[in-house]
Amino acid sequence: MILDIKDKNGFVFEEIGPVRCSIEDMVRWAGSCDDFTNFHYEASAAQARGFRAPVINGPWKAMVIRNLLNVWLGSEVKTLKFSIKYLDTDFVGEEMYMNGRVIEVISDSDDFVQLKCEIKITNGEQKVTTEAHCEVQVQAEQISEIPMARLLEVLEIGTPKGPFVYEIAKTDVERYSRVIGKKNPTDSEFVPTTFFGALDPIERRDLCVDDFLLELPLKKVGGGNAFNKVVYKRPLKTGEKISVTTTYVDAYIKKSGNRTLLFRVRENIMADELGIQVAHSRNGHVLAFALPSLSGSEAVK
Amino acid sequence: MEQNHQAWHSLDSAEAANLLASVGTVKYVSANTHKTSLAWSSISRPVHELQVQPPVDLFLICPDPLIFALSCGLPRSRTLDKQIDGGSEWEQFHDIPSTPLTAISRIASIQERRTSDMRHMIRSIYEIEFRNSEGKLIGIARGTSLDFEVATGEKQ
Repeated sequence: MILDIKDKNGFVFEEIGPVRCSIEDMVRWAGSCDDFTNFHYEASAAQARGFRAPVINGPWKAMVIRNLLNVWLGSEVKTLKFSIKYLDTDFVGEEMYMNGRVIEVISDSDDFVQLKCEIKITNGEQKVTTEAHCEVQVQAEQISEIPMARLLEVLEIGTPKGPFVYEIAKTDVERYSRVIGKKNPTDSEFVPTTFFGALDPIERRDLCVDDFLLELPLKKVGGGNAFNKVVYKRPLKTGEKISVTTTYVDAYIKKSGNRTLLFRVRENIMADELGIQVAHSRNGHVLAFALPSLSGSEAVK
Repeated sequence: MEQNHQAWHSLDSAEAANLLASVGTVKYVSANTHKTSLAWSSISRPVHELQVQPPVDLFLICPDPLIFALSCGLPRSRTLDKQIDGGSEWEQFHDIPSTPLTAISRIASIQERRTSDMRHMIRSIYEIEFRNSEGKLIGIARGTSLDFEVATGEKQ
């Protein structure tokens, strides 16, 4: 598991537990660090010291937490700084629960994310026995190609989405006319032909299915509309309600110089309130990435 | 000026000054496969989520800084009733090299304070520096020993 690049601050790790440590685990630990203080693995020695059971080594808990960082944040985690306080005793055979969260994003680059995390161990009575703070460096997810399978899954090629209903308000048309440079919008009830392009759920952000592309840890070098084609049967009029159904029909990659171009092609069917089709559009959007060289054919489906 | 007994402050004695100057026996250490395997099995047996053993880092070189420092011959304050491990710290600045590291341990601080019920407590911090063959500081581990007076009712 790797954290998404955004929204890491406050990210809460999945609780691990109950964990119960055995005498054998403590003996193994003793052998690993040459700490043969016997109240960690001998019940009688622990009782002689006033403990109800053998006491779990503090550094054993540190080692557990340090390794859980790999479970929580992924295997590419470097622990830069780790401090731990043993606030209370944990006993062999008794429940422990490990919880943690990100408390600060120290830095966030394309390659690495540096985080401060806080991890606590609580016992079966929900008392915090151990508290650790650490600074870790997490290598950002490395991908070298556009995840087409994921893209095709979200685009659902051939499956209509909508309808999205838009009322052509006079004020919208006037604003649109000004934006496209029409200095003296007429009082005509017919709207400019190019207004068909404004009736697009994607452009209006009413339909957002592939936003993840913008979050990919890939170098993006451009993007925008690749083409728009509208075939209309009659002009639109102000006051009309137009239903728009969007269908993604294609997605493909092309290589252009050192850029990899990702095209997504969609078609919009526009119908009036009677359900009669008034226009059909085909639109292509492109995102350009600087990826490692693409082998094989020019176009990859 | 009234002194805040509950805040840590340096232990002001000749004995403490001597201890602060103490440097442990220098050790040359590297990851011991057998010990690393023992440490990993001791945590991965009870914590089932731990499935992939990580590469060697300072934790595996020095899993218990306090025990490590004491094994280098540094003394531990045992003037009061009970001694416990108060915490540990690891800082790693560079990857662990394949060649052995030089470990130099010392007592970095000795401080005392009174608890809220006025029991005496002494805190000793042991610091171990790990350097590569070129003298470059690879990491630091710290262990804390607490020596404290137990409540009258707890004394045996």
